[in-house]
Amino acid sequence: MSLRFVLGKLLRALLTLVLAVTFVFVVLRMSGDPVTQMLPDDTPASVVADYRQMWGLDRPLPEQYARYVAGILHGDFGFSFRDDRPALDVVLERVPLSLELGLTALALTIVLGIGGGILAALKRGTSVDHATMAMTIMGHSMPNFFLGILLILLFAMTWRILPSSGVGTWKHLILPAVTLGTSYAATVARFTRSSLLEVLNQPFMRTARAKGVPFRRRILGHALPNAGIPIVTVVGLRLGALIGGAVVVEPVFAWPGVGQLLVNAVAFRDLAIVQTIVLLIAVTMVVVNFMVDITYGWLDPRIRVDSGEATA
Amino acid sequence: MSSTHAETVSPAKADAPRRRRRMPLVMVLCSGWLVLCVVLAIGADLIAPYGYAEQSLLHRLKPPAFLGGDPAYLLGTDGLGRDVLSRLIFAMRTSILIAFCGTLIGSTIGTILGFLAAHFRGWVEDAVMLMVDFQAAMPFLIIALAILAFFGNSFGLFLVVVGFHGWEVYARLTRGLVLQANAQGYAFAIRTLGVHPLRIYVRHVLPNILSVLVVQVTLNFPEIILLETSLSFLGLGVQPPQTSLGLMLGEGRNYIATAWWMAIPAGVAIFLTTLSVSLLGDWLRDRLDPTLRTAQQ
Repeated sequence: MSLRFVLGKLLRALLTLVLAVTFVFVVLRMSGDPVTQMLPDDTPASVVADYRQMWGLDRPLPEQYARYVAGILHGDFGFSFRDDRPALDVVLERVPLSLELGLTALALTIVLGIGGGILAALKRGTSVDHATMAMTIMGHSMPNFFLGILLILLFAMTWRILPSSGVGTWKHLILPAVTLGTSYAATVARFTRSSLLEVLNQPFMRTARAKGVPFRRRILGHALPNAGIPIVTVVGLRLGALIGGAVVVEPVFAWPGVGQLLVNAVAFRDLAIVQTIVLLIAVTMVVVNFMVDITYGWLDPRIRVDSGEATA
Repeated sequence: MSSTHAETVSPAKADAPRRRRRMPLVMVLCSGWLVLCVVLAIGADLIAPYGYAEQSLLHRLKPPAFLGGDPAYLLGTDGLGRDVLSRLIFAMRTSILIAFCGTLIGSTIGTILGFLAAHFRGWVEDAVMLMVDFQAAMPFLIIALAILAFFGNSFGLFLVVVGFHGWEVYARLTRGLVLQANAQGYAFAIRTLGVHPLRIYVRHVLPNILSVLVVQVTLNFPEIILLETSLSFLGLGVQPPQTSLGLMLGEGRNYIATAWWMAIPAGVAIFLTTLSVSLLGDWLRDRLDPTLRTAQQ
């Protein structure tokens, strides 16, 4: 893996971050003058002017942009007007809970998705394969909020074996994690199946078989590492779907994470919180994508800087 | 349900020669459901027994007719005494209309940008691809939420925001396909005849790449339905008194213990619609382009 490859990816990652910050800034400025939104309508013009000067809104746009970027680099994401605290603090204290839910769902996805995909590929053409694939299509089409409601109806209300909402014990984690992981697992299962099938048809698999390598070692030692490269990619690149899913699933189960915070902040138009979360997610996605790119290039030396087009 | 699907889904995904047979039963059912949805959406005013906002406080929370409720309310009534069936039909109209317009917006913008990138190359291509990468890196739901938060919600803005979902896939696909087509003999032949580029693209290249784009539409459409219903479910999309399938589910959620019929029909309708489009899309993809593999989404 060349330095040029890493630098190229790093540049792309930074560029994406700059775009994210610019996007938030542009939308923020386009959405109207914060002063007129916050002050009552009958505020004297001189007071409005003072506020505009205080917040630097009377400056030219490029300067405002520079100040905005500088503020973010210093950790200044604005004030949440609902909590009357720095927005970054409000958001960060929600992060652990979201991580807990997200990582559990991710683990579930990897076990169910990759496991199901391997099973389907090995049993290709059998009823196991068809059942797994039918389930992935259904899992993919199922709106996660509807799945969540159904699970609550069954497990929390009818059978009363799991709590329907809130946090606390590991039991609280089960329903939200299953709800969040399902459609993601479906995608991963389909992808695992197809990439494993592709590898199983490769000449080196025939060679391994001809050499007399036992079945288990052929699959674990030869097929999976080769099929694993695209699987790692899809798990990483699809993380955005998991984050988006969490925004919907958290409110369903009253899970007090970042997703629920975002939904409430949008409803109350608490813009400082919204922009903080958007930028936080942008950073997360950029870091994950960068790591996936690097892992991909490291695992498969054939990948070069501009070969991303081949997979498009 | 899963076992019947397992049996009947398989022929569409089996090996190539079997694919050429007539439409499998599942596909007939999927098409039937979608036709029903469209008919209900178009004729909602005529078909729905009540208006979607028509309240009757004397008939609150009536169970569906088949569970011993009032036969006048087939699927029961909600917390304000509104007929669930009528609301379902109108909700279907809103959701399908948004998904339809949304698909149109995203595919048009994405395809045009893809053509521009492939035609001009250079910085135009770089700029388009940079935006594509940015969009692909950010979860669209988050972008949509941010825009709705900053600008406030209105039906027009919501429609446009939802419509942008998936534009980057069209742009990337179109760019790749047009570059490929431009390198082929037929495009070169027409170009040497001195035909205007616009005419080449619209009359010759577009028809050649259309099948791939149509398949992408079948992937994009269910995603837009899920996006719209998710946002409406959260109360950040379609606003009352208008109704959408997601909004119905969101409103019914609070009554789930006592009046499940408020939420479940809307959820089933969303599920069946996205499932039908996905299955039809899979099938269509196999029919239109055998070289495209099912897992390439």
